[in-house]
Amino acid sequence: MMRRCVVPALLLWLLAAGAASAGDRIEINHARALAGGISPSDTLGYPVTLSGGSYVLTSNLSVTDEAVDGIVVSGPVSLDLNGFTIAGPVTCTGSGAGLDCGSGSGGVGIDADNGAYGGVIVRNGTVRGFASQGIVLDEGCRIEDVTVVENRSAGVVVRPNCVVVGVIAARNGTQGLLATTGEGVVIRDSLVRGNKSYGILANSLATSVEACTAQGNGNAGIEIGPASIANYNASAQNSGAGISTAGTAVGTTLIKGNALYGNSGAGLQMVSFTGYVLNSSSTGYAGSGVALGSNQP
Amino acid sequence: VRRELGVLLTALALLAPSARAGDGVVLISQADAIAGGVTASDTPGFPVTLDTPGSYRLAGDLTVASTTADGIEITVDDVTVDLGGFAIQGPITCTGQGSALSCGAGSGRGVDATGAARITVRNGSVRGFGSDGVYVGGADSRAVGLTAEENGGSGIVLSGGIVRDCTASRNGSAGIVPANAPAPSVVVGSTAVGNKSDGIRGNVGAVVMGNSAARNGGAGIAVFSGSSVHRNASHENEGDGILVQSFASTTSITLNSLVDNDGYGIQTQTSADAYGYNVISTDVSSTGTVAGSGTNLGNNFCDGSTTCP
Repeated sequence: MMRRCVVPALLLWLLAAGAASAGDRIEINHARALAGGISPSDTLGYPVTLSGGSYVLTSNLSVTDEAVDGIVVSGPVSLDLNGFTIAGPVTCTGSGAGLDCGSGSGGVGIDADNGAYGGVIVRNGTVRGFASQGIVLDEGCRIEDVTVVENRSAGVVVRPNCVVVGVIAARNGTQGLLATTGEGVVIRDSLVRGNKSYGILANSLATSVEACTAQGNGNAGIEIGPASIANYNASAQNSGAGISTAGTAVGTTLIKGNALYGNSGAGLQMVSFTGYVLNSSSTGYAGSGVALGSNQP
Repeated sequence: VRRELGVLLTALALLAPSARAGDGVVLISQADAIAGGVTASDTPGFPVTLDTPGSYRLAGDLTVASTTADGIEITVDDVTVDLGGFAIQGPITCTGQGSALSCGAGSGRGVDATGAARITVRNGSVRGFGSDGVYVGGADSRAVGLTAEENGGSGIVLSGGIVRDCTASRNGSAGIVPANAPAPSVVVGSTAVGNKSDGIRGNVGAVVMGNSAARNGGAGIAVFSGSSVHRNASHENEGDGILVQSFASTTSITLNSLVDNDGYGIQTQTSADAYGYNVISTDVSSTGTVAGSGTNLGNNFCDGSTTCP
């Protein structure tokens, strides 16, 4: 009798083990989200609350209530979306200044803006359709190879000293990428298009925006702040400047080697303490910048 | 106990074809492809049809014998295909390189996502298809860590997105092609070698940075209006090293090395195209260092001289 129980018991154990872990990482999937208990502080349903550790999505997540977040992070976390999508209920029509994502605030796709835990890592997947921001990450974060589309507010919001690599932020209800608090944000190899406001708004101190393309956004393609650089980007067909600089703090901002095409504003719109060189602009240059060498025109 | 062990092993064997990895990703093997049912609309044989958003990974090489079949067909948005280091292998082979490249006939694609957006294909090889290696028709997609070689069409085609750390070699059309609509593209850290047409071809507002293009039958790098082209090496191509395509303007071209291309090192279109800090050298096959109406921003180095056209 006891022997007869061995096989089914062993099978159940194997199935349970497979459902709960992927290597040493903790699994998150839709069924487990509904069941709760993914971390000690996680309750039934959405949001999934993560309190530290390494997590991996093992299915798409679907949040049907506009008011609810997808994932809330309350500790230092690495989150591999594993090629899956976290989807909310919001959809958008149009693009750029004409984008319409409906009205009202609500949930965030991934909310790691708790002020206490830095260093959150998010990679490799898609976040779309939330009534507020797609992803909000606190200081020292890294976000890589993530696509963030059709969220009612900004696509991605990062705090100081974050690194953003290979992110696509398209058709979000305000900015594509937003880094306006603190300093030291690096954004590279990313694509922002069709967002209702700025493509990239990173107008705090000491930001680097390099090898990004911004197209068809409802305001400037890229805006940076004091002591920052914007190098080797393409900013085209935006409803504002191609690249603008902001702020009056001491410190020189460098804008080098950008292609600025078909924007409704100036190719570069610059405050004082801005140097620019090796740029090409179809709509010229405006403001108080200083040419450090040749530009076209 | 032996009998129970046998039952256990049989049960585990029955579980195996569920084709899900421990991390929830749907696995695709050659046996799965032949059997069909990877997703609801997937029929036996190739292509493997992916009709459900999610994450998929190869569990082994896929070999497609038909010259007309795709390897994987994606019919829905929000799909990631991780090749897992494996290859999708078609039946076509090519000989030669550049304009002399000749590939067998066929019409299949390695990965075909004609109507789908937000597609990611990563980490493996796609070779030997009669048409393109990877083709994604919708915007906001990615190709990362791919090798596309000896396909009869282009190696990698994305209609807007990010191409990073990819290699496209000896394909029957262009190597890496961010198609002209609907979105811009970023191409970084990639190589395009020996393709029959252009190595890397960009659309409006493209960023092409940190790439190498060599011995392609057309231009090494060909871009359109508003593109930013920097820190690339483009050499021994049968066309120009960097070409601004007809009717385009307002490109920024700096810090490139352009060596022994049969056309010009840089060919611009209008005075709104700007170039500076490029190193250009020619050989007996070259047409010249710089052509077109572009604006010399200075500090270019042409055939050993700081005086460039």
